[in-house]
Amino acid sequence: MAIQSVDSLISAISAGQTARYDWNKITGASAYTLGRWYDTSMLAGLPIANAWAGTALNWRTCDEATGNGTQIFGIPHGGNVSANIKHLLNMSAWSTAATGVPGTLMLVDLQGYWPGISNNTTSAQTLVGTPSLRYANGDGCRLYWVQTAAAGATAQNIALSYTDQGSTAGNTLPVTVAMTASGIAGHISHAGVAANNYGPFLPLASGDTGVQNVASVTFSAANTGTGALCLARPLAQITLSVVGLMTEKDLLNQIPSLPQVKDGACLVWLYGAGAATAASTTFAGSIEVVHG
Amino acid sequence: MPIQSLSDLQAAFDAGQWHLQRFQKNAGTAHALQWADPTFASGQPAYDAHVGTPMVFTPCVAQKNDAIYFPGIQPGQHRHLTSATFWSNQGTYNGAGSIVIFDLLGYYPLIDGDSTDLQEADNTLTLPRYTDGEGVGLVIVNHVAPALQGGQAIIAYTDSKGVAQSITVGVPNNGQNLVCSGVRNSTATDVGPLTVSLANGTTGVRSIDSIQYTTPPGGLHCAYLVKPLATCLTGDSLVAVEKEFFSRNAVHCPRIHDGAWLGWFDRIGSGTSRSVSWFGNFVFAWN
Repeated sequence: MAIQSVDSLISAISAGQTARYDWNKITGASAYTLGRWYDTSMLAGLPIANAWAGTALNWRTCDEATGNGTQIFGIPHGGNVSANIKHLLNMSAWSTAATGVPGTLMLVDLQGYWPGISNNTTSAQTLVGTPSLRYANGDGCRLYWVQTAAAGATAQNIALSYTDQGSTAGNTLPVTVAMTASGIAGHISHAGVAANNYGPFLPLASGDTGVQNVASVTFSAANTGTGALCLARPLAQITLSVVGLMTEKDLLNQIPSLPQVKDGACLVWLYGAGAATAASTTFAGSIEVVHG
Repeated sequence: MPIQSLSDLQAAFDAGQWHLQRFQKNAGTAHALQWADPTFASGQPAYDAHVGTPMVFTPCVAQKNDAIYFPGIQPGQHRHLTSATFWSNQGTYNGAGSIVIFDLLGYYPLIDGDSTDLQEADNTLTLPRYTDGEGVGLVIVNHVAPALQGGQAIIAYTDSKGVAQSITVGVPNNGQNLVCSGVRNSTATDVGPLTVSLANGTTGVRSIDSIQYTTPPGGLHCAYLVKPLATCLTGDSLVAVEKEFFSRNAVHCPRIHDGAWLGWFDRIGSGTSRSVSWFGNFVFAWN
């Protein structure tokens, strides 16, 4: 039975229906830039790094138990609990470096991605496969592009053709969206402070609340580099506000209250840099879930 | 009957089924930004160097004053940690700190940091609590003899699913009695994480099977198997901070099993190393 009161929550906790896992991630050899967002799944640490396994342009589903089928890179949350419902209960996070704050960590449920998309063509690149999503019709699911191999120095814009939560195909981004020239691996390349940057997610057409599929990706100019287009559902955020100090978040008393963690959720942190973040900065923390 | 509602929790206090346990640990190793274990300092609970026979798993079952004390309860009852308070008398603390409260399930002591030989573990004794190892973390601490450099080790272990795993991981030289859990598979200095980064798909550690240094760090190390229970923050200089878990931890007052060996790791936020005395108390309730 779903948790529907404080008493039923206490009862679930008392019955041991909780799980807590620690995680840590360390950034690579390149510094992060103020105002940009980065994917942490591909960083070394615990869990292991996501190496974006899969066939270029083909949809690859991600889940807790198998990751992308090769790397089990999602933060564990204790396995499937249906017909119970699982919720995020508490989170903590900290950074080791003074330049790791201020910052924001956003926890998303990564549904999957299309890997191996080239930055180096202006032709429409047709994406293959129909995502099987944990959220009906993709409602609330958002897109972001992760640079999996560093981009070259040529400026380019990104355009998409996607199917929205209402199954309407052929939607396009409502504004010009600029990628970042020379974006490093891990950078959510359209997120930054430059003109036409949006982040962490790509903007949707007016009235759209989610994405269930993407048909194609097109760049305005050819640049070197490769990326993955990711489809994820944001669940919660935690801020890193004080140098050296852990941040805690109680997800019963703070909003969003008790976000649901679906069976199979592949939990990944996205990092929004509030400062120029030094290379080899460690982020660490924990998540705690409850089901009932 | 276990606590299953707010009324049950209040009733437990009304019935006197609660206990406040004071603690006081004297200043230990100076540290900043590294995680430290105040076990390696005198006070109440008592100093404990976590020694024993090298690489023999030594289960921890709390008795008397060797960890945070709590009273026994009747069969069928559950005991919970309802609040924790921390403060320090360090007048120039210069930065709030972070705390992770844990149940130490056991440890492998006196791992020889001057040897590149395979050091096999004796697992005759097993985890006394959380017996499958799910959610159990591996924490490396430099103890007894100081390390000389950052090391690298191949750690073979059995995960919580019973699968043999192996990981190559750094053992940074963060200082004696401080946590030296590596993130990367190199000898680089990593001071941030509490638990060691583990292999693909690992969600907990049941036992360590062997450790072999490929770059010996020197000194002696202890490998803890811990179940983290909760977090809290400390105040700045001379400020006491209480975390009451019901209202500030999503009503999750962590369950404390019989024999739980309760301790904490602290991480001072200041960039300047401090040697910190700790004072405070833990409050338990049961029903």
